[in-house]
Amino acid sequence: MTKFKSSYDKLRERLQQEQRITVLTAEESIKITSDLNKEIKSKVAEIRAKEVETEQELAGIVLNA
Amino acid sequence: MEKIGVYVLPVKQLGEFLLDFYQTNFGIEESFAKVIVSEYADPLIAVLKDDLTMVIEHPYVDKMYRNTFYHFYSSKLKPYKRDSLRISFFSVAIDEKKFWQKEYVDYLQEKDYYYGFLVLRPTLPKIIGRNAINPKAFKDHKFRCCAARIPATVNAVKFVSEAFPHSSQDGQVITCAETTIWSLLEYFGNRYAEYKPLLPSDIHQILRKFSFKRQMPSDGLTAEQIAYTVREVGFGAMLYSKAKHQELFYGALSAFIESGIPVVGVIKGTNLAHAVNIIGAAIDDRKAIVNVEKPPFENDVDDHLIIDYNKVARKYVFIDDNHPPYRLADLDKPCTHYKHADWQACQLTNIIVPLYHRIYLDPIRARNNVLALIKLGKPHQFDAVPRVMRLFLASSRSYKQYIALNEELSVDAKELITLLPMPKFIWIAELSTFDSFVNQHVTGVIALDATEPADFTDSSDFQVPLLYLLEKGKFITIDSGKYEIIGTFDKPFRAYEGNLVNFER
Repeated sequence: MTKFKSSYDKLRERLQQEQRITVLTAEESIKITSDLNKEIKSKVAEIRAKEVETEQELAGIVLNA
Repeated sequence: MEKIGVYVLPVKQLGEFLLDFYQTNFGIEESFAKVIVSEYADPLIAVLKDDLTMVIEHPYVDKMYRNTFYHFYSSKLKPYKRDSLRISFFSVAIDEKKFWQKEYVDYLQEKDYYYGFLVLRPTLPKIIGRNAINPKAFKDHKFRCCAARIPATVNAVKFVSEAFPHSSQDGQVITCAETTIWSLLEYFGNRYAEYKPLLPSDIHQILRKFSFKRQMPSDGLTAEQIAYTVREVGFGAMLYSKAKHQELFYGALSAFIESGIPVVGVIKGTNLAHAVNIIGAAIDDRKAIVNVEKPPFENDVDDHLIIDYNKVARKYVFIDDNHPPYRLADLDKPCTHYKHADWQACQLTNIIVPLYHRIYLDPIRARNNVLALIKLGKPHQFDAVPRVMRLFLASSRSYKQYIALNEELSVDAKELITLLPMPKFIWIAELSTFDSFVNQHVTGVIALDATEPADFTDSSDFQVPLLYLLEKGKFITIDSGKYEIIGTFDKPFRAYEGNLVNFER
């Protein structure tokens, strides 16, 4: 660890002094991430299936007009 | 040897000049010359501004035509000429006596009076060759589109203009499929150091191992061959289908256009299939988007009122090799500028997207992720105020510069964003309340990591594609797996416009 403070270190220090940073606990963070991933994944199978079907649909279309 | 003839004329005299040129240089009858001019040159002249000045040069060695000449035309019985004719456009009258004075040339360039060039091939009657004409040379230029700075010389002097490359097909070596690939790669090659332009023989060379019959004369290419070529030159090709992706298809297309990524459009009709490039969109009437009786809110964000800007109907800018460049058309009626009913009935069925190969998160997934974040962020972070969401890709370099120089953002927000490590490309979802949207301002931003496909993670993992979220004066990011909320107290700030060139101004 360098003894010099980067601009981010200084910013962080100031924000902490001004009590402008709230850090969620590990448990709270895991819960949010897990909920988010569940929400994201609920539509993923459908998205993937459409990608495969699109590739099949494009086979053999000759573009020459 | 024939010396180079240079002619400075107003654009109104182009038809007359060409009639004389074809009769004199090609020895053809006046009636045939009239057909060539009326069918192939007049449609372009009709859409150009009337007050342009042309500098015409002949003979001109055009790299694209010469490539097709040496690989095909020179082997035919009928003699084809080697040389082309080049027309350069200026928005002001040209003083021939001053043309070689440095001060005058600097003045023309600094004022952006040079509007690019058009090559006319000796492949009668399909004469419209390689061209890169600035949209401002056209009567209708009220649009934003992808454009590269394309250099050229005029009467031995170098100039540069912003344009999207275009060429018509000659019907023998290059059909719509080849011109579409050429145009796309000519754009990327002139704009980014990572890519290089291709000539028609390069395209056929790439496709040798993927073609099972002769390549010339060209019968066109399959959509798969276009995607294969795009991938072979270094892109990560993505495919989308209107039939399969349904209501998300136009949204994905719009997201790519808003990202400054031109796409290949596959157009199908009865017994015909055509390829075009879609490169931009008309300037919106933003008030009209939000001032409607029933705004088109998304259904999949619970009770949040979100309009997906990418799903709002607008005209798009088409580069079609059967028509002059920059034709505006609706996605539902991409061939309105054709005369024949069979063409007018054609539909846009698919798009092929040349995506930077390290972008793993596509617009459909990115949109899904953003809506999930909004849904999860309620009610603390996102209230029920109606918002417009504009989703696009940006290079982190350009985006950080926009943040750093944005006078309406707080210094704290600037530091928090610019000091955040980011991949080369990021997905940005700009959120605006209706008033802010009308004034081209944003009230919130969600930035996603474009190298994180997200759906490949397990729900128990700690990975999410979120880089940061800035909304209601709070900056939210993830550090060592923990969410941090930092007060920045930011108010609405100017929206990002770096991906497309606005030619209305």
